[in-house]
Amino acid sequence: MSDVMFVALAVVSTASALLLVTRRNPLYAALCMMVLFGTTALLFLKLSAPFLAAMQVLVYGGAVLMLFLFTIMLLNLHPEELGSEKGLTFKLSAGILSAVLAIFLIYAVKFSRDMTGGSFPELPAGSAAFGSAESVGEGIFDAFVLPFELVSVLIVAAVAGAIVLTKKKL
Amino acid sequence: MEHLIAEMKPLSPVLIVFTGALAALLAGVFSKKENSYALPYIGITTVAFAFVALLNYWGRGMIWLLQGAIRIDSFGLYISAIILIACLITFLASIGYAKRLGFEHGEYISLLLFASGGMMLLAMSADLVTLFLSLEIMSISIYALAGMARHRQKCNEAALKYFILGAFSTAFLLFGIALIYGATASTKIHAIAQVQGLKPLLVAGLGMLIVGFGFKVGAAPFHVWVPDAYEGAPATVTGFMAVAVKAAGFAALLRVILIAFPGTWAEYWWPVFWAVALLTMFLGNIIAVFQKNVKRMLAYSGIAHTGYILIGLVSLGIAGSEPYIPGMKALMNPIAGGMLFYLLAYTFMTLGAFAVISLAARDEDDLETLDDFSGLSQRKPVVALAMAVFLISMAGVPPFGGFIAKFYVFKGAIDVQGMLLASGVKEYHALALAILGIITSMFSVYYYLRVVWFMYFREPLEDRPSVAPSWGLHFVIFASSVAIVVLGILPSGFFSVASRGAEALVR
Amino acid sequence: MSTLEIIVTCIKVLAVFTALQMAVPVLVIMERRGVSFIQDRVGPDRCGPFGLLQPFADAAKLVFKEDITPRHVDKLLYFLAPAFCLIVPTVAFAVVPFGSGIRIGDFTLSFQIADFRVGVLYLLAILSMSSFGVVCAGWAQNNKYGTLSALRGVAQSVSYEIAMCLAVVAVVMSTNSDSGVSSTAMSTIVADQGGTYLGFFPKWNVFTQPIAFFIFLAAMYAETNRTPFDFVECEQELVAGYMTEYGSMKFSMLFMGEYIAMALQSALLVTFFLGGWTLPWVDLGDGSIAGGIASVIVFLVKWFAVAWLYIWVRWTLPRLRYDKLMDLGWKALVPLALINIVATAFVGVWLRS
Repeated sequence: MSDVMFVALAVVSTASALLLVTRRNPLYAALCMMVLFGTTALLFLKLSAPFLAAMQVLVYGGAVLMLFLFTIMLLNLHPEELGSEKGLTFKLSAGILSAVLAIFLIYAVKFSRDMTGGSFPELPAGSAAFGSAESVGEGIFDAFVLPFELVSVLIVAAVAGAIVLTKKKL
Repeated sequence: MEHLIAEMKPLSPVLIVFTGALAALLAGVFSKKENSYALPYIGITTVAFAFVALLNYWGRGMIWLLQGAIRIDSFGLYISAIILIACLITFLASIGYAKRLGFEHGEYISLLLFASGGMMLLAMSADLVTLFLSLEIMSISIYALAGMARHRQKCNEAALKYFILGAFSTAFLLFGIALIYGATASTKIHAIAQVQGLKPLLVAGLGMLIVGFGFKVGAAPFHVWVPDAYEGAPATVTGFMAVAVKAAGFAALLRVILIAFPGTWAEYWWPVFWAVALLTMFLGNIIAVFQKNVKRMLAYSGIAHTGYILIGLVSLGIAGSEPYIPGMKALMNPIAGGMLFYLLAYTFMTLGAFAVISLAARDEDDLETLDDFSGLSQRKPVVALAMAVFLISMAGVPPFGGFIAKFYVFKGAIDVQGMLLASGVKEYHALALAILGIITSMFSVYYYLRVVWFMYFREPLEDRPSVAPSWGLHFVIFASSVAIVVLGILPSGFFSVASRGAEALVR
Repeated sequence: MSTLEIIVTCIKVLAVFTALQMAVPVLVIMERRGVSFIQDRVGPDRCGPFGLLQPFADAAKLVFKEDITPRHVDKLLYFLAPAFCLIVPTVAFAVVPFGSGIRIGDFTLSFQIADFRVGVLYLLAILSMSSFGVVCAGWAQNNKYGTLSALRGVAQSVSYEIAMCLAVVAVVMSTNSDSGVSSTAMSTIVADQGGTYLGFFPKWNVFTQPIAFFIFLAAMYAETNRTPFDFVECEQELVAGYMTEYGSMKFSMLFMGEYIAMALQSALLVTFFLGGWTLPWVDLGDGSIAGGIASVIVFLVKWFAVAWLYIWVRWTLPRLRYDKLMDLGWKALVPLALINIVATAFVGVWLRS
């Protein structure tokens, strides 16, 4: 049951990711992206990380995707403004490169277990506290307090940068 | 709470820089337009304080902070010092220049400080999460800085290209970190070295990390953003980008590679770096020959310098993968020290050269084409002399710092080769790299000296109104050329400091 | 999960879904009679007693209209958009507790479809997708009214969503989770509001978190695109905004989606701030049948009161100017919500020490 769910989610998310990069209509690409974010969130949920799942939808589905849509509509490009279609060589080489990378990664994950006899490190998944909002909060304010604070520095720098580049009159 | 504050104390250099950044931001918002000339001094003061705080921790050994997120050691402090010097020089050089290009406001100072703080943290991070976040602080600030002169189209183009390619490279880095975490269940750089097994996954992660860092330091084949970004960005920012981003990128690269993947792991990565170094040196030097624009030329020369520094990393890898050869371990510290010395010499040469470029020939555009340099020796003899020093030093001609730096790096490779041959290993990778490095240096002499030739043996063009350089710019040009001469004549003291810096990575 | 639980959950899903569908006509007649009352006129009173059957007549009219698909629309999105508009607020109802629960032997029938530990986050996550339907509809119909309306919708909902989330954060912070329950679960938030201070004063969050309450209230109107924030469909400027090219059942789905979103927001306001199904002076959560039914009734009464507030505000206040809307969101509500969070944290630490 659990494996069937995983396979279904994996297939849907991979397919939507593929569609996302191959659509020429930006709004359709955004639609695929939403499906991708949704399935990713469900995968997180399956890995007993509900907090991450909620954040995936809230931040990526809700905020990031909405801003993408906003930009798409603000630019409102006509099909001819999207630029000429990339040539077959480009598409083919991009496809082959990604396929090679994918095969390499699959190989790496698979043979990491089979060849070297090592096992994947045990994560404390399955316990009730793992991945909950409480444990994430504890992590943020304890072990990862510096990275957490650095995020705020990052955001201040990014806001200052965005304003300085876009504000009409400084 | 008190415990946390006490623990944060050794981080004071970084915290001072971030505080200064916020102060500059607020001062910029709340001060009147005509007082904006005072803003760079906020930056200068901040850097001075941070430098004092930094020196306070030099030689105190390793300090682990915040559950191993940060390790303050001689290496991190050395790189941080380079970054602070670069930041200080940039502030001084932008007095006057920023006003001329219309970006004399608090955000400029603030972003420079934010970027410096991020870089310092990058050099000190011992945890991949911290490393990634400080890399982002640095990158985001630099993207914005690259587009600072907003009315120039080229500048916008530079910022956009740098941003898109930079974000792309960050994705690689993040993916690499994720794979490494998947293989080891740890993001601590020191813990990764202790995990055995799951090698294919770790190798994949390592490959992704190499791609990500390769982008940041501008190594071929990930160098395509460098010329456009360097050419379009304002000259002071370009200098800062060239020096500080490279120093910080190398710091993170060295720390991750040498600590997380030491010893026999080197077999996996040194051939990659060998090829990358070779390609970088050749591409950088050969394309630089054909550039008419001096900024672009310096961009390609910057790529070439990355290649030279990578020679040191390859030598370290070869030495590390043959640990049983007696005497090999003793070689490693001088090689790493040579790389750090190279970064220091490169700082002064490059920042000096970009400071000269920022001395505008026309109202707003930078001194860029070779024609702009025609007869500079007649119009501004001192500036021309300094530029000649910077360029000749970059070409690696004695008695300047650039020569000594190259000497250390090549000598390291040849020493490793000698040690290999003495113990009967008949592989000539290190020697080949050193020889090819010397050959490509020969190419570089041509394009560096061509600028000197234009400055000294061409008549000045009439339509170039000149702008009087500010005191800051004068000071920068003077100080940098003195520093380069001192580095060239009395390198031993600086080299021993650099070796102490390298001690934290390889003993 | 036992078979019984699955069956009961399915029944609850069906019940809630049906109730929501039926809430739409109720809200519509409430709105039409309400506005007539406010504007001092009679309103629809021909159809059934007091005009109560008017919404059904409307529905019948819409169903029998010809379903026209204009030629210039983007077909896929044109069909998907009404579904989005309807699905998002309906799905969000999964975590809303609309009653206490009835204990029958070992089995507890709780009046809530799913009680996630991160229920609040789930809610906010789903709500953040709510403007997607508006965007798709606006874009699909390929005319400038639709696009403008969609643009406004996104800008408005993104801006006010932040304030709304931050207001809810303060509520979660003030919810007591000492006994090991998750303060991000909706049931905890409701249960924590049961009971009284000093024996008579309700423990509702509206009294302990008044600032969060008003921020949530303002954001609520903005999120559902109703006056004074109805920029998405203001007739004078945009014809009908993102609904312009829609007709027949597809229009009625968009329309229903809007009213269900309104029902959802009212339910959320009741749950977060007005004590949910609890009554301050009576314990309704004892598991008895009478208590369970009474709690549902309490919830419904509160819900109707808030829904009436919605209508009242809509027909009383004029529309803001667009820049004022953004100013209010970013310069007033968001900073206020942040200050509220900090203050809540300080008070919480002070109370605990």
